[in-house]
Amino acid sequence: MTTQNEPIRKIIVVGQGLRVWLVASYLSARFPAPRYTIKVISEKNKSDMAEEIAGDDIVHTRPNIRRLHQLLQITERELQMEAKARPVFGVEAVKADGARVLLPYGGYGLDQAGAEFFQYWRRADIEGMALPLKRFNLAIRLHEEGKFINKAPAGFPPVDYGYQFSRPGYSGLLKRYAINNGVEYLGAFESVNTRQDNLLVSQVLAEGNIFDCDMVIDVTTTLNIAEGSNRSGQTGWVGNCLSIGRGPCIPEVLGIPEVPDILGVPDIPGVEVYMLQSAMDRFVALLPDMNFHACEINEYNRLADAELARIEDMADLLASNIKGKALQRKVDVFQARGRIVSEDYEVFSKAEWLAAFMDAGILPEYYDRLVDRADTTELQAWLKQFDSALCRFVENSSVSG
Amino acid sequence: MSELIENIIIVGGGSAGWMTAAALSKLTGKADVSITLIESEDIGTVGVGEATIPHIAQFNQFLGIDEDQFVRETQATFKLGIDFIDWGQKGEKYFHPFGTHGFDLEGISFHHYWAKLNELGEKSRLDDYSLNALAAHAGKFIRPKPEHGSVLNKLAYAFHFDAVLYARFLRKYAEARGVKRIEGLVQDVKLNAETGFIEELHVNEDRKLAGDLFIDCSGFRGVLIEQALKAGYDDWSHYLPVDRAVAVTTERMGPLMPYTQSTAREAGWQWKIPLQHRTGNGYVYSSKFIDSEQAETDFRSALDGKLLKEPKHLRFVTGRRRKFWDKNCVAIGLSAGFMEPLESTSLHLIQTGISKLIALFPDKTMPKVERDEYNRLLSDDYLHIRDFLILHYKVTRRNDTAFWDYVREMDVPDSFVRKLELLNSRGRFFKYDAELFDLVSWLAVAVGQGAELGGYNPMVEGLSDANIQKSLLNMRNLLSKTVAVMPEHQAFIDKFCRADIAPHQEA
Repeated sequence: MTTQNEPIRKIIVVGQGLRVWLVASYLSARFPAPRYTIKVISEKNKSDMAEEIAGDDIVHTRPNIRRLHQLLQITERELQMEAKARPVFGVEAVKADGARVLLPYGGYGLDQAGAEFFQYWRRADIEGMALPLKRFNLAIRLHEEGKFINKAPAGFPPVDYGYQFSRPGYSGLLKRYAINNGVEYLGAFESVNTRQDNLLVSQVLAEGNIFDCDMVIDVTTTLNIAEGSNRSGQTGWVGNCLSIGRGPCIPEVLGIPEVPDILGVPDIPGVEVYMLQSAMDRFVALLPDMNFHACEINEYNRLADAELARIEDMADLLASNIKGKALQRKVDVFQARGRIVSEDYEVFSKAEWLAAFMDAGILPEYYDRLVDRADTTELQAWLKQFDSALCRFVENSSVSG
Repeated sequence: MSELIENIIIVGGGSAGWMTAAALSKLTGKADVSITLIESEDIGTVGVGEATIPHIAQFNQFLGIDEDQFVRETQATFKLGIDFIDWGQKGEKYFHPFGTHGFDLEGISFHHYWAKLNELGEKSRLDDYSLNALAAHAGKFIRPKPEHGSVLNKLAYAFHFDAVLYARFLRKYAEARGVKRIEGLVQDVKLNAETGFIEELHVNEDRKLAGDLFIDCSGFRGVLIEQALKAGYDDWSHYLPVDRAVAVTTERMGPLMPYTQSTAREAGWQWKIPLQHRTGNGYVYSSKFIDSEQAETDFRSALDGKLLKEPKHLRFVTGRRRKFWDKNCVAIGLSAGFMEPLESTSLHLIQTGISKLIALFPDKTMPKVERDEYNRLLSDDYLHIRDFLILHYKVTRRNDTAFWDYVREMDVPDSFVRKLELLNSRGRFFKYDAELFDLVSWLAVAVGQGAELGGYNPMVEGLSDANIQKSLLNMRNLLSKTVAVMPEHQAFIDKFCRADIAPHQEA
């Protein structure tokens, strides 16, 4: 293990499949060899690609994934050829009853004269003359028609896009990049060695080989060696181990009581990858040295907790299970007049919240007073023209993929 | 169906009253909402906020105001930041710039490389990497170029202006859009016995004004929000102990500087704000550590221009209203709270109050959920600004007076401790979404006042020492060359936006 005050040099990422190779590839671009060594270890009795080879799963990503591709310099062609990439303008979240709701990566209509488009739409809706709201969302229309554009032209609602990938293909692509950047896959995990201060110092493989480490990043779904006594039952950063994900801890590793039901990540498509990527962003921004300062670790956990809380709020809304102060406030403010409250460190855009509210049947009782300035006939004509313009635009856009 | 607001009554003119009137008149139009502003010539305005931060430009753009016309009519000058003198220690100075420091490299913030270079023994100041700081000290100014890639894009600016003239300018704007002005004083406030809502104001003994929404811009007095509704006030003078100011205008002296000057004094600090026609000055101090007579004596001795008026004394309590929006009354401006003018946030807090009111514009029922949301958002704004102001006092090495001993040793809020620890550890800073001051600001003040970063992001080692040295030297050279070809601040104003009134002439 490196001495204190020095930068961490040896990082071990524990896990398999997309989760481990996404993190390893990200780290390999930010921490180039030979200055840093990044090694991957898979769970006991599993190969690094075990989960991916078994199935032909699809993985969804949010628009921020394009930053990772830029960092790794992955081309569109590679994404299409190796990961069967298909751009998506939103994700369909599956609710408990099996129904789907599309959370769009783009806004509704265009704001006007200090009021949001939705307020105009709601007025027209109350007056009984509005077309369905989703018709005014370019991202939804492109998604439904299977069309693709890079960027919305002026005069249209903005759109953004992520990708849908073949999970094994995407994992393989990221693995290739990671390996090319010097990442080494070591084999399956057996146990860890710790120091008196609970820092992890080395990892023992099934074959008995021991590898030193300065930092462990645990992205397993069942292992979770990162559990620490003061954050038992939660994912997060403890000592020199950062855990991203979920799974029962191995209590004997750090001598903490077993926690049977570890906090899970809500199952909204795109969120799994988003959280891995944002965790790495935070980690890089707070990159420790061998002192592992408490204030930096606490800050990481504070930001991660806030992010998870926002994701859980969305999951609760999709499950029509309104709980928690922040979500209740969001619902109350929206119900009053259709305004969407932003909390610190939001994950989902206002458009996604609006889609979820509408799907949950939550509608504002009234609309923003400012839209009353618009003449009824003019408002109706404007909405119709907008709808027609969107129709024509989508019709003339090229087919996705 | 909801009951729509028909009558808005604004109590108080000044910057807060007329900014609010202008913004609401722009949005509501003449036809359907009546806006009335009550003000009295007998009550002077504080004239707060002669210095601003860059957000003010967005407000003016929203109103559709031509910037050059605004500069001319308010005797404005351009502001690139604040020059802090004697804050960390007597004899020291630093610049808090708008804009950024240096250029990020390899996805890592510039300041980590700067810290690494310092560790290598090549000491330099953050100011050397700020286009704003370099231009300010050279007395230069030019508007940033919108073209992508231009170094000038790094320049950010605000204004110094005459707040009285700004209010007058906005009054013209608002009255042209149908706002009615009534000269008079509010003598009584009639509340609904059942709901506690304000029903009408009694003005000038014989006039009664009914309204749906009342906006209190009456300043420190809080005629509606406090005197009538008793909204309450959180006193923050423990953390920010200055509670008095003495202010005066002086003749312009020397070249027109494109920055505010803030000089630490024995029991507070002194501002100097250059306008085209005069200079604004003030000494903000703590009455616990100096009396008003001594403060004025010290203040006068530090002035460098002929006084245009006799000094005016002000009292205030730093803090914020417990409810900014209570019942059917919204407090905007000094009636909402007072943060000392150290970072020119007064007009910004007016602006943010207005924009949130617009975003949550009510009907006559004034839904509690919307009031609560407004109060929550504004409370956060004040808290974040408070913590940044505390930084200026807490991170000092001055020990020459009882005042500086107090602020250096005072206990501080947990929110502040967390931020400072992170910043000190390795220059880390994570901004809340709606937080006004970002890493550039916190770093400029903390480092400027002598805080030493405990390290830097280890990832800077991705570049060799020689590469870092060369990159930072290139940055310094590029910024210096850019400043060299910028016009003088005075020349820029003369060319595009010189006021009609000659220097030294009082508006």
